[in-house]
Amino acid sequence: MFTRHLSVPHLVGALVTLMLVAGADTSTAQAYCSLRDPVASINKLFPEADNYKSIVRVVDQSVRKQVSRELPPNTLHFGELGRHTLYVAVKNNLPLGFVHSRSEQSQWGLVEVAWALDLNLNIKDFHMQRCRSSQCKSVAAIEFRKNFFGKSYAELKHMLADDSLSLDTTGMTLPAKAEPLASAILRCGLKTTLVTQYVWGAEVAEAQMLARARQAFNAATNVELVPDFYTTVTAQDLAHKTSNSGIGIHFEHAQLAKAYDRQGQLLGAVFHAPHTIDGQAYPVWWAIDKAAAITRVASDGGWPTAQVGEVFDATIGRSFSTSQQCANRAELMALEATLATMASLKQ
Amino acid sequence: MACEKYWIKINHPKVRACIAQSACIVALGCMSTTGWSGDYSDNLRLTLDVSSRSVRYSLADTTGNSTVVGLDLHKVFSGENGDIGTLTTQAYWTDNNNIVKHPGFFDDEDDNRLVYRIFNFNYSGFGINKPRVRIGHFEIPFGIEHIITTNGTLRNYTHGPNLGVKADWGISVNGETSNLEYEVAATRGGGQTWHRDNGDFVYAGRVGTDRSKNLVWGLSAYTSELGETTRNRFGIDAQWYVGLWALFSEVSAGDTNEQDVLNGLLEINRRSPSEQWLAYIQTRYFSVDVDNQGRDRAVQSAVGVRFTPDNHWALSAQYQADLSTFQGAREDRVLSLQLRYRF
Repeated sequence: MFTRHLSVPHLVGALVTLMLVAGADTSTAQAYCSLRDPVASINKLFPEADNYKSIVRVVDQSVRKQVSRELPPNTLHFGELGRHTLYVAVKNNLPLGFVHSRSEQSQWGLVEVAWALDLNLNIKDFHMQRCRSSQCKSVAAIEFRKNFFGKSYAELKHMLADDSLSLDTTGMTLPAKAEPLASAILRCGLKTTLVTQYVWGAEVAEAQMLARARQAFNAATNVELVPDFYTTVTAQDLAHKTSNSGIGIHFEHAQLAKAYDRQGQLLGAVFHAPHTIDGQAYPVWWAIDKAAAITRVASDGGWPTAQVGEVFDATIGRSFSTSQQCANRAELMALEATLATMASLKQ
Repeated sequence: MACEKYWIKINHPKVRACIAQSACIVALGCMSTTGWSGDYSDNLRLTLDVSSRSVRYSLADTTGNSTVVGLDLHKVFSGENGDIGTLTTQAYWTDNNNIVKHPGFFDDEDDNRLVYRIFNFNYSGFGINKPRVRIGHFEIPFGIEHIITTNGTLRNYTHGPNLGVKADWGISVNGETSNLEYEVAATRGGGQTWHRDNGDFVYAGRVGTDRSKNLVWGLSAYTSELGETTRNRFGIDAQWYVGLWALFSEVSAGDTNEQDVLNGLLEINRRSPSEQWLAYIQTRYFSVDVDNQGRDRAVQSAVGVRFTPDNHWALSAQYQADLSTFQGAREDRVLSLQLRYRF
């Protein structure tokens, strides 16, 4: 009786409409009831974490094309497309790093690896979530895993052999039988760092800025990224006040985040951008409070020399508003960072 | 008069349930996307899931069809400092036509109704190493079925015939440590419906080893009273993966209405390296020690294959045969074919 009123074709039509309204997206062949958070992996990879946060995003054909272009002849297989989750490991509400599970095809079926990435997307460690090869123990051992520790995407790429598919095992002690699996792990790690950067780049940047802001401002509970803060007006103002054509801050890649306390009061901001020091770009960030005083300066990958670090550290606690106050290049960079930041804070 | 007619249709409980769920889904789907520290409401997976199944029954010499349409929804709720919980809803309109062997919640072989496969919220807000609390409709935590999802597939394990219920409404505590996972549940015994007969209950629990390993063990316990039937079970299950091959087994012992039972399952399956193909062969064994009549046994075997060429299609076939039946009933052979598409 009921089907006469609500037939299957009607239902399909209604549900397709619903999907369009609700935002239909790339599906996965597996029912969602089988999805599980990799809690055990997060525990193993970030034992100090007291919580984690999921960020679901779509890995689609455009990402597949980017991977194929960047890492030929590697590509994403169909099972790697769809909605995927990046987990942010958290301690005391501060992001520690990321965990992302990714599978790689192998002759023993899909190998699923949970990768731990630090806030700069360097490999922290990995954990085999699913591996049906008899060689799993060899690649899960610390002796093999440590080859990946601290590696960036570019450094991982250097671990590829000439065929761009295999692991260059020079200098590694690995059983010959385990080499195909080890190569699959490397390809998986490369794709993980690449896909994480492509798909979750904004969230990664936000987590990085949050971590920096929390380091710089103890009372910060909320951080707000300021998009497109470096406007033409700011650039002109900066050029006018510094009488400079650029001291080496790459504003085109700059990020700015405002930090607020629990009551919503502005504490200050964190300015982050590549800085050219001694002819090389370093990811430097400045913490500037609402009174325009520099409270912290740091380089994510360290300073070129201890002396350079000391020169930058000497800017802490000072305010810069004109180039007349600046005696060296670090102070000119402090001036530019301050002016760009304060222009945004005043808006 | 016409208005009244339409109101009766809209006011039908099944239509109300559909409308309510649709409203929830639209509301969830329309939630906005913001940053890491903001109102995080976009962790939503939503898929329209359509499947059609044809079943050939040798004994009845007839063929049945079943069409299933539903929404598979998975939504992670996050707060400022971490995940709060996960909502999973799978409500499927199921239209049976001459499905001779059907689950008990269908009135007859031509019934149709909204079927809740999984419909629950798993609260995880206590922290990463703390237990979670699941409320809603979920699979009974017992045996291999708890680990290997068979919902909406032709492949089946022993939940229905062994426990009398596959999924139920209730509450559970679940979690995992580095080497163990567990779920302990108390449910109402209504199966598909919230309605509960006086005295009905299901208590069940499973503790298993880390499922990322190639050898996984689990221990389960179950006790229930469903209508006039009382069941008690203890079970042990294992999964052993060797390359592309896997061996699954489950043995459970206990009693049904004070008659001793011993049930088992053995499955061997093989995947292709790309995992687009899965083939399996399984045997299910059920036995009951009938008072003064000795042990009565039923044995079923099934062979099946599933092909998933991409993220949308899943094509399955299964042939199931009774090798022996309880009380010498006639043995049946059932051939099932299923086409499934997830949008």
